[in-house]
Amino acid sequence: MKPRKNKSKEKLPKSEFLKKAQLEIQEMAFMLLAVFLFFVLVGMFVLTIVYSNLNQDAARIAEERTLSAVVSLADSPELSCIAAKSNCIDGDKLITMIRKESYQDFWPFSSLKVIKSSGFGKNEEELIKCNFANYPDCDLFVVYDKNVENERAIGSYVAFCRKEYENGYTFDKCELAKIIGGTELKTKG
Amino acid sequence: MIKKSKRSQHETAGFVLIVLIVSIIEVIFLSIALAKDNKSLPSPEISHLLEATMYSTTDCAINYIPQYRDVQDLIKECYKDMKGDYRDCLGERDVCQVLEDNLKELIEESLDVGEKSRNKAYKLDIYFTYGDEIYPNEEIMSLNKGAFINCSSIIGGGHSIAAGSFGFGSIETELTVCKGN
Repeated sequence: MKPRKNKSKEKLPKSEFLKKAQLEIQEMAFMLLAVFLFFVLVGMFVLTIVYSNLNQDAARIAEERTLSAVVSLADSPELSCIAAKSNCIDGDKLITMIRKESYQDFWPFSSLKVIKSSGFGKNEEELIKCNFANYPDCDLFVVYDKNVENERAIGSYVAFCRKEYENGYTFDKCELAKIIGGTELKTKG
Repeated sequence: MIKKSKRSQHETAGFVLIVLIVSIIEVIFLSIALAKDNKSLPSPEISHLLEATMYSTTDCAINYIPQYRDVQDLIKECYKDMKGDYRDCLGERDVCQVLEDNLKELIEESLDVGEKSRNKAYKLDIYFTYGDEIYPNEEIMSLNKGAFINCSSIIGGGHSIAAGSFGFGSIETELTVCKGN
């Protein structure tokens, strides 16, 4: 690139000088426009990344973490099926655990419930709570509930198995269920 | 002087051209990045649902009552039936038909699929795969309900069943769900 001459010292006719000035102004205008456009596009790009991917990923990871905690609960010795099945709850173990307050400090959930497939689609009032008298003809097992005000419940599908007796044989009868763990949402301030 | 002016004009035009090209490329890139992706997002909820479904006991006993088969056993029996090793549930019911009825009931009662529900549609594919590109996948069953139109998102999950007696290969189950607004 050639070094620019000192414009003020150049002796140009007035019309030529004006043309050159116009050209320079034009160049500057285009430059400003380009810089403005560039920053707008970069800004849009950054906003897109920040508000779509990052937020989505953060929400997904948080949900997966809670979900994996709920799933690992199903695989814990207190609830897992005797047969080597992962993601499976033994109903006969579960019925002995209902209303056991000691588990409140054992698991990091504010409430722990299991809904059998017979309770899917029912309102909370319509669900039949399980106890020793009505098991297994019931819908909802409440292991414990701390009754916290601000609670977020995360559920995961599990297999729910129990022993049945028919024709002189015992066998495992499994059905779908949903294990729901509640976590207390702590507000700032 | 005219030469110099022309050169500056060319420079300006070139510069504007470059800015325009860069802007167009960025706009295209942004539109691609912002465009809604129709691919299903992996969902642990759906994978767990499939896994739990596989353990569910069906009302199909093949040898004696109460040796009821669970869904994953019934899928294998259905595949054997398709291959010519004919199987029936007690009561002369077709294994594949019983499997279809059980799967439909299980998926639909757990997902609550409907036009006004949170889940607008679902598609379940069950196929045998050798796990390579030489042999094509063999479809065992395909179930669906509703239409994948105007989904706010599409989530999906899969579960593998070890084929065991079929030698190399496995049975894959894939479930995709169209979420409504």
